[in-house]
Amino acid sequence: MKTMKYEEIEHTADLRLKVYGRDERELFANAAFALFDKIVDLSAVEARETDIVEASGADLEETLVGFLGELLYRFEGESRIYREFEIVELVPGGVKAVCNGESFDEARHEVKAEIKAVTYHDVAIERGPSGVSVVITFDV
Amino acid sequence: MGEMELELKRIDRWRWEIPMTGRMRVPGRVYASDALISDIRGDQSLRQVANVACMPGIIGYSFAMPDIHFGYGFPIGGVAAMDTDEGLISPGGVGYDINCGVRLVRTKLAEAEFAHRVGDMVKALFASVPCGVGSSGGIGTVSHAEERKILTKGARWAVERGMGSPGDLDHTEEGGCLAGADAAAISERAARRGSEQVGTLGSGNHFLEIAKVDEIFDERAAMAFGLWRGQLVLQIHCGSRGLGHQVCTDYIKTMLEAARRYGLDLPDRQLCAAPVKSDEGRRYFAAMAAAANYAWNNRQVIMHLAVEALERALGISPRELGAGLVWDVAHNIAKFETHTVDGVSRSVLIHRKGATRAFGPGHGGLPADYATVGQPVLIPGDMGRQSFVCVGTDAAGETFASTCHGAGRVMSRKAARGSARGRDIVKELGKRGIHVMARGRGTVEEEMPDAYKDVAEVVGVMHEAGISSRVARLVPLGVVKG
Repeated sequence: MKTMKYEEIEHTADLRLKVYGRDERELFANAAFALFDKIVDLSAVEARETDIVEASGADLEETLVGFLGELLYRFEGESRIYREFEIVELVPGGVKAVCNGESFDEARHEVKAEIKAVTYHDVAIERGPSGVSVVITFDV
Repeated sequence: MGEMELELKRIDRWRWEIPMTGRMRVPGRVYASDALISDIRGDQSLRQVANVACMPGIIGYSFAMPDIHFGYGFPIGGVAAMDTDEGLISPGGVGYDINCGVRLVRTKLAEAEFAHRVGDMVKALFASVPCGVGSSGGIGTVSHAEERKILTKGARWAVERGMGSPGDLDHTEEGGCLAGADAAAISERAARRGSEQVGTLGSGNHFLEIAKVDEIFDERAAMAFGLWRGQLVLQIHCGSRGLGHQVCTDYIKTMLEAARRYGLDLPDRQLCAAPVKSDEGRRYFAAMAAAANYAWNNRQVIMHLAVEALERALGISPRELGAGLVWDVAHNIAKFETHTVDGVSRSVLIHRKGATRAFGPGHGGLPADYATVGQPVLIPGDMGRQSFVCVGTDAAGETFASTCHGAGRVMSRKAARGSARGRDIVKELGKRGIHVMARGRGTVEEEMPDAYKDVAEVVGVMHEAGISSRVARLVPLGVVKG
């Protein structure tokens, strides 16, 4: 079944995304995609360079928020944008991902929104018969 | 879902109480009108007020201002005072944009004479103050050494470099410098993000606005603040940029671990905290104070860039423009303040997340020229309607001298974009005589006036409740958005 990677859900003040995946690895990859898809127009981003991104946390949820926070820093602090993600390692305490993208180029890339931070608010990975999902709240 | 509906008891026309249940240590106290309370009941913000009331060491009430809305962890519009011995300090009680705040600059210009130049003024501001997502380069990149000075000195750093006057510091909350800041408590990442963004506005709800003083409610206070009907003023709304966001991100991680180590049982991870006097608590305070100082300096630099831009655009001298800082408020901050609790004066650690300090007349923390009237309280509204200047009152002690901070959203950003489809918001505002320039089209749509409550309703509640009273109304003429 072809499922959507994520959808935006209503939240008055902040940005809330519900992210889906067939399993936890896909969930992490789709959450990373969703983050960059909200920040920039990904159609103009080329997957020509590769970075390894790692993060850790006390459990899977904290690892996910930490991972997205790490990716946000890569954009904010190092001007990196990614569009393709492969989760090569995932345990409750840590994640390692291969992220493909390039450096931000003002001339070619359109920024859509400023995301200030990824929050831990009510973050809980839910498991269902067709896969996993999580709702993540971003401070914008 | 599955949660018990919280009881909400009416105290009087403007005050509501969430009685203590379950793990709540104090009741919740909400300030709202009938119209606003129905909005507030519509989201989960009251649950968040109750969650904050569960935190060890909280004193009096978990407060909600009338512009409260659902946030993460603490509600936005929440105020919590903590015992300095037994209480907690929480990065979630401050927020990611540490010392996001508002600054109001008066001019000598009359709208009657300069109305036709507002378009030029907006263009000049837009060209001079970098704005938008990830904006950088307001005054170029500052060195590591200079950045450390900014983090400990706050707005004084800019004043010492000719950007503004020493008098500006007297008209800034905490003199533009929160004591206890330690640049060494800031991560390398936070410092790196901060070095490029001094003097930049950012995006989202941040703005520069040329407004007209449209109505005066309190002649005496208005005179003390240097405000008169028909006057042009400048509002600046922004915070600590990427540096503050990174400090909060870093310390929430620290506090998640700390909360576990100290065995704190908190209803939401985002409320993670540590005892005020613990090592983690002290380090967070030192880092948060440094970020707050960065924000005050940022608004000082922006004011300088904006004032110069206006002088150039209008071809007038500094004396003719007559720019002067009315006041600068912080509305996302934690700090030690002395308040009277049950008749006894004591130091508390107060968290204001989307709330404004409102010292009444005679308070020791006020500059001489405002001592007899009280502290100016700046409450910006949306870019199409109005903003208010208020003043703290004698009764403000009831809320640990805290009041509302803005209009509060009624529409999600998604709903606002939907509502803006097929419309040209910049053009619509232009037809109403409001010049808008923005870096991103999406920002204007998400920030359109209909997305916000009418700030008059919010300000009215705190006025009627006697906490902060109305001094002047400002109407927007020109707006710069990120």
